Amino acid sequence: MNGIIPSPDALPLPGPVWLFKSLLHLTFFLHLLAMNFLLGGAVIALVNRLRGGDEGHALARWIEGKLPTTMALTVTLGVAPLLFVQAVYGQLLYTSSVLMAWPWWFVVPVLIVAYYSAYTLSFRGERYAGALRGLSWVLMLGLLYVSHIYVHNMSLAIRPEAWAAIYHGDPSGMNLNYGDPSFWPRWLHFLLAAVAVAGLAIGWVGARRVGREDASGQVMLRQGNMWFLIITALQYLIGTWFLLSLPRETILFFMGGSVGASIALFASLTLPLGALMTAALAVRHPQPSKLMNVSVAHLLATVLAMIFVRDYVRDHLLRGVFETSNLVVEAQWGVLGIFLALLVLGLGTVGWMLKRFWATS
Amino acid sequence: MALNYPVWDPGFAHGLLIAIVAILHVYVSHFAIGGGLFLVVTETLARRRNDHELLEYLHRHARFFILLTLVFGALSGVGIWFTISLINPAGTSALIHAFVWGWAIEWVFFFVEIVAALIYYYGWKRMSPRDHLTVGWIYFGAAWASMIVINGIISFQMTPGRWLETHGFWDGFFNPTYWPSLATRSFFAVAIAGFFCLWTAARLDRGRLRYWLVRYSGRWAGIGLGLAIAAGIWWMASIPEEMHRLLDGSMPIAEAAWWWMNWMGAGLILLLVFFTVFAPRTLNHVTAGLILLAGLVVMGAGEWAREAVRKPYVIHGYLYSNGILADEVDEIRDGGYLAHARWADTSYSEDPAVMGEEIFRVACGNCHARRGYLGLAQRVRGWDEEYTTAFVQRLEYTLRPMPPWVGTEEEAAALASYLLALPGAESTVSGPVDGEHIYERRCSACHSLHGERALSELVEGLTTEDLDEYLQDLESDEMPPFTGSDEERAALAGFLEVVGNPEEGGPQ
Repeated sequence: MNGIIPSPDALPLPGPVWLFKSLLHLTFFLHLLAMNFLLGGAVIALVNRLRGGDEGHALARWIEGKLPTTMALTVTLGVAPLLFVQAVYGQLLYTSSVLMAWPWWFVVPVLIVAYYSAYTLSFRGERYAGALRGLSWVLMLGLLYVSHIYVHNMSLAIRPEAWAAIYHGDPSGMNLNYGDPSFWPRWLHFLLAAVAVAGLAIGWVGARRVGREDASGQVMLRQGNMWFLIITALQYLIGTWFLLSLPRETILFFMGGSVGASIALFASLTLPLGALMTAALAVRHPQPSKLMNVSVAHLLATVLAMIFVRDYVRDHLLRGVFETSNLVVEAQWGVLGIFLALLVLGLGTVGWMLKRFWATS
Repeated sequence: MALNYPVWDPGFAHGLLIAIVAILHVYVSHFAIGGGLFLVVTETLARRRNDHELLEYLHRHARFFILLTLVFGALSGVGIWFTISLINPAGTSALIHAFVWGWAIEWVFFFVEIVAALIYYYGWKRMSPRDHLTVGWIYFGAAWASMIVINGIISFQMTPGRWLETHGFWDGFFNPTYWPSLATRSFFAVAIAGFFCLWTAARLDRGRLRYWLVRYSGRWAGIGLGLAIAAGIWWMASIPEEMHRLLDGSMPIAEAAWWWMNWMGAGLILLLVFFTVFAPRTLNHVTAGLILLAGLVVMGAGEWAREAVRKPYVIHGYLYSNGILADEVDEIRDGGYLAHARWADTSYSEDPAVMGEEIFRVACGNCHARRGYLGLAQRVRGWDEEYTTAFVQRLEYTLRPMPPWVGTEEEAAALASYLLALPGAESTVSGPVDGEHIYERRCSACHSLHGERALSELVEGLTTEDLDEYLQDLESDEMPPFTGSDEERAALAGFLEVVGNPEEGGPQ
């Protein structure tokens, strides 16, 4: 028996690895944006609800009004990367899922509860402030749970050396990945990033409103950018902790060991500086919209760069254990082509519907 | 490839989790299709008649619709995926690899469906009627298209057809039960739209609209159900003969599910006829709830039966429920389970008790529990080690569908002693030896008295003495030896003589 690591499926991969990875990165990128606004928005809305005051209250209401649709987008955009990651890395992900079967399984019921909380928050009036605060808590804690378990699973999936001891210790599916030294910085890094992204999104909407001389714009711009600035500055510490928690060879891989990995890391360290500077300048600028567009563009590029960093970390930690270049590929070009054609058609349909919807506002 | 994954061992038959998640999901997801058609067709009707009261009702019904389908429907669908990958990672992986582009296409439709549902609801008052109806049709088209795709994969699991030879996407997708399955599901989705409309209509004030809606949704339910029954008969005609056998009594779970589907279906039709045709004014939210629940039971039982008759496979003829590929059976037989199970605890070589539990997990644990639902302790109750060891090695010959045993003799013995030591496996029989009881315990897993592999035919005309002699030399490739005491053997022989010679007054 050649070790405990499950083999890839007996059926060949029905498309080239690069295509799966491209689709994975693209859909994961979109999922992250929606997820960040959802999770970060839930945190910011709750903080504003707890602080009280008319301004905070209005901001909380505005965010809560967006959360159900954001939740729908997060789930829908999350299904695709979960599909593509299974096609390439399924045998690893299934294994780590089985080891933490119960906490992983409960992600779904928790999400259902959180989703209904989001809808109730957005549909209800202001009559039951106490109950709404309770729902805000339910929503935020539910989403924190989901993010926590996701990081556990995705990080255990790339730590096969730990599996045997974990499974033989407890096959009932009640394990987590706290034994991984990179778990806490990894989760904090993701969590804080979500709040920062949501902050910048709020600031961006605020800036557009300032441009239209809408009084609520200043509040959103100031508070949104404050969240973004403070947390992103903090991320340099958390990110460093995360990097240092990785094995030495992996760190060296990013310090010149691999040109691609080093560029990706360098980009994800420097791009946020541009976002930070423009976001800081925008707070007091009379016409902040353009600055905020630049800031958002830098942030989007950062997210993309970090997705590549994450991919490099995964493949580096798995080297010698599982290499995607060894997968047997037999592309099903016909149905793959139908998928791509339908994707274009589907996006066009969505675009048409949104156009008709917004045209009548 | 074999026995690739760790087996989740939560201490009960975890297939129940799939059953619960899947049955609820399937009901709501079919509502997401039929209910979408219902909304857009009824909205067209309301706008044509300029019926504001009906439009107002539809707006509220749409809100109920998106809250149920977008949240519970969508997430429970993800829940099925989570659950099957925990319980059968090998099966999930095979389905992903065979059909990843099918799933990807389904995801495109899912995405369009979700966006269209949100725009349909939020745009109710702000969009022009024409645009709004177009969005409604887009919603229905995308929702139905996602079923058109998923149906290919679900029906493939049961009847993979030519895919088994070619491994071609379209051979598996358009498999022998694809069309009847699609028709049954589509028509039932129409019926479900009617059930849910009854539910929301029953909450309206009594009056013209409510009366009209009850009769109207009764037509949706009735037409949908009638066509679904016709399509279901077509589906029955297209499934393999061996699966009919399982529905007809060889597999108690399948038979029970089938019974519930048919009788609850009959009850559902009676309820519908009474409350939507004869006495529409008497429908209230309790009786509407009953109709909804009866629909859930019919659908759930049907899905349960379908899943049951696919056993012992996850993908019929290709992959067994315990993660073994049909074409690697011989390879694993050479060496046994533990030599091929990546996740077996290697300390078994020193401790036979550990070995028995490892075998249980690897060979049985994907479907069976130790006790309770699908528990093995009660199956081996009153058996001895020799018989149990011989029995598990002949698993594929039992009436209930079981994957073949691919372990060694030593592994069979270890499993037998593990199972017999389980709490609940000890014999609870006391008092005089009873031949019929021995038949139940020793023969009935593979034989019936008068039905399949009928003992009444096999022992016809034999005397107690013939039978006693025969039982002493029973062992063959398919038959385990009779290992009971002389007294038990004599009692069984006596019982079988009466079975084989019914004119002497045996059990019928």
